[in-house]
Amino acid sequence: MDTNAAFRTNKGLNKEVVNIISQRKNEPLWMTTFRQQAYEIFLKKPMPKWGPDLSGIDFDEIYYYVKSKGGVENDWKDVPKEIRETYDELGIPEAEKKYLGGVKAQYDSEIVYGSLKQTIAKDGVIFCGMDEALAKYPKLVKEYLGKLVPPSDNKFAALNSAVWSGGSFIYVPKNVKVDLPLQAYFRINEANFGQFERTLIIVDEGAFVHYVEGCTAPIYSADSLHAAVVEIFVKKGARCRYTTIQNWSTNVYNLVTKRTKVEENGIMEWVDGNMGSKVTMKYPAVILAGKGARGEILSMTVAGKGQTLDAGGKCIHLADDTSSRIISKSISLNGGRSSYRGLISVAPEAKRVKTKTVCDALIVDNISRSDTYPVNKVFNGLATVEHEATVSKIGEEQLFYLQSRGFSQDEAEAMIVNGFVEPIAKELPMEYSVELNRLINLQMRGSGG
Amino acid sequence: MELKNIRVKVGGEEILTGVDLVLNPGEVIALMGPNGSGKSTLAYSLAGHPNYKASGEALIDGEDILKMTADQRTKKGLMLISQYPVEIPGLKVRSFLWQMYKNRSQKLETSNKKKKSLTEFWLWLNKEAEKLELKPELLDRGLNEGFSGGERKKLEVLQMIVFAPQYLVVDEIDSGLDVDALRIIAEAMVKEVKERKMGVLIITHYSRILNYLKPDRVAKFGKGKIEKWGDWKLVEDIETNGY
Amino acid sequence: MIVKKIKILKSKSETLNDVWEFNKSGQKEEILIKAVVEDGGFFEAKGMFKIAKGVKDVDVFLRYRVLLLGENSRAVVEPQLEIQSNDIKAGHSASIGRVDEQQVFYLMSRGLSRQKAVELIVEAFLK
Repeated sequence: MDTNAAFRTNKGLNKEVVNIISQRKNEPLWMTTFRQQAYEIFLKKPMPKWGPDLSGIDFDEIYYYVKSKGGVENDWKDVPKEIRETYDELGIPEAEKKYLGGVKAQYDSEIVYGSLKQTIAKDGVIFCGMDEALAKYPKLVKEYLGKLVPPSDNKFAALNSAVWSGGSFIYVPKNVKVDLPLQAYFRINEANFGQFERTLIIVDEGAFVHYVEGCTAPIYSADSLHAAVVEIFVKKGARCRYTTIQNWSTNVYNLVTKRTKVEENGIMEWVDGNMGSKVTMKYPAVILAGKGARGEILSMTVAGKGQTLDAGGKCIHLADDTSSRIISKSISLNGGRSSYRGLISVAPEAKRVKTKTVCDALIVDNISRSDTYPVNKVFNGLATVEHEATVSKIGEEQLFYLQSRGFSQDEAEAMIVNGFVEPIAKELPMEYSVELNRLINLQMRGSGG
Repeated sequence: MELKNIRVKVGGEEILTGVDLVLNPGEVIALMGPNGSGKSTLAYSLAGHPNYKASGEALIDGEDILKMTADQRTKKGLMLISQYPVEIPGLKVRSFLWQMYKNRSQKLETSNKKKKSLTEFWLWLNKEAEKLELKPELLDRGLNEGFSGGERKKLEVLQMIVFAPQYLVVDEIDSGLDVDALRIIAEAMVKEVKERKMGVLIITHYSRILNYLKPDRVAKFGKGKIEKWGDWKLVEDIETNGY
Repeated sequence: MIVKKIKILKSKSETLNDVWEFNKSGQKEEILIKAVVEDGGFFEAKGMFKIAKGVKDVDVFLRYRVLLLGENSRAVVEPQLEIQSNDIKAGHSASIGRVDEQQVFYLMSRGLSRQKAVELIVEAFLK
């Protein structure tokens, strides 16, 4: 079978499509069975009864497996005008524009990727696409895949489990610290920005890795449903940071299940930036399973015209002396809707838990909307749980102050909004935070005062 | 800068009842008056604060700034030093000052020199901050984020140095400043007055700062307008006898 | 300001479910709900602030303060906001935790038994 030729399953999802996907990838039997069982679960599971309106998703109109030579290929003229204009504004080079627009399959990053790959391979670090991992390291994948997010978790996890393709696999051996962030960009020979990516990261005892996915520039996707699953295992004393910047085109439903399990004295940091998509539902979760484990979630959403971004985080404390922190910064403008949905849970056997959540929301104009839905479940009386949320508009005194310093109203608003997200922006790798500022400026300009 | 019959109503009540004054380049006018007499209202209405709508005329080089937005007035050459500068979290001081610098009038650069490059600006800024005895790490924070009252006032003065306005309106800078800080700030203003012929309208209760920033004329403010003009003797009179 | 104070006894529970709607301009409200939960007690509170589209100059805050007296004290607190106007200042906070040990130590160093110290602190909390 020539796996490099263009191929696409028929529209819609059924048992046959699931089987075809597994066959084409030459998967072991256990994976085929995993997919089939997940498909049955998907059929039975209801749509979520809470959250944004998902009635626009037509499961029968979607192609669940698309492979062109090396990846997705769109026609440049299909890429929406606003996106092409944004690329110009951001000064993105020609080749990269085509890649982001899904027109060219691969971004040629071999030079950077090549030497990085050599360095980390020496330490025994595995970093490859999920498809490759299943072929090369089946035992490792089987041990961990689906253990944190089983197909039965929710309808979209079931869907992903049935039709997943692409995504990253990372294994970091004991005590190895990977200095340079590993980026999804570096996975060449894979269709990047796939619809149903499955990512699995295992950080062994005492190790460290930082993984970055997505990018600030808007990504045009002809596919309207993205349902990804990310599972991360942080072992004793290890640390993992996972940074996502999501800026899908505004036709996309982006429904993601992300979960980590952290063992004794381990640390997990989610940095989650959401700017694009029509609807996003994403609540990075940290399960603090070992004594002294720590979780941190930094979440940012910028919801513009026609967008409903529903994001937040969950920290589940199952062990003594665990701690967590959630910082959420959300902005709604041009009629957009930003919602924070969070869960802090302290199990009865978890003693001396400390956790703090701070949610700030900025509603830029009077046609936009902001919601906050935190849940604090404290079942052990030795815990200290703090939660604060504020919602406001751009301060008049701050606006006047900046104007009295010679900045126009538009400039002043953009400066204040950028200052608002700064605590999250500063956690992003440099090139992202610079682009983020410019993107926010663009969004603000579009807000028509 | 010429103020002609400036009147301001706040909530139906007339706070400024007709202020007239002329401020020449290189001149320092001290405005002294009791609390509630409208001094701050004058400062904020000149700067274009949305809560204060002024009638009358405020001319800078013949153009009426009352018709302009706050940022246009600043670009025209008027800058306000606030009594309570606000905090804008996350807006880094350095990059903010750089943006302000880029906005300033090109005619401020001496004829052969262009504006400073980013590196030149950076180095120059560090030196100026040092002269003001402003801790360098403050420049890496968000605007006024966690700054003490005195530090905020020094940052206002640093902004004056960066932007180099033609006319400076200072609203009660002395409160909360120790003797050294007061002197340093006053000296920075004196330098701008001497070297660039900046005009200063300084609103103050106390004469302390006026010892360093010597006024050419003194106005006694009361009931929404200037009641009496004088010189240093008027300052002494107010210090001794009150308003 | 609206203040609600509740003491929940061992093996008893208390459930609150409130919705406050702000449909008129100029509304200002500060709501404080305090609860003390004895060992084995259970406190459950849901409080929603809804601010309607188009209202102006609304300033509202909802505060939950919950004191847990024993390891088996339990609480579920869900403050919520649904806001459709931007000419507003709104917020909420939930603070759930134990008695401050510094305060307990201080009172004990003034001769009070631990039990008495906690009693006084709880009394002051509920004032």
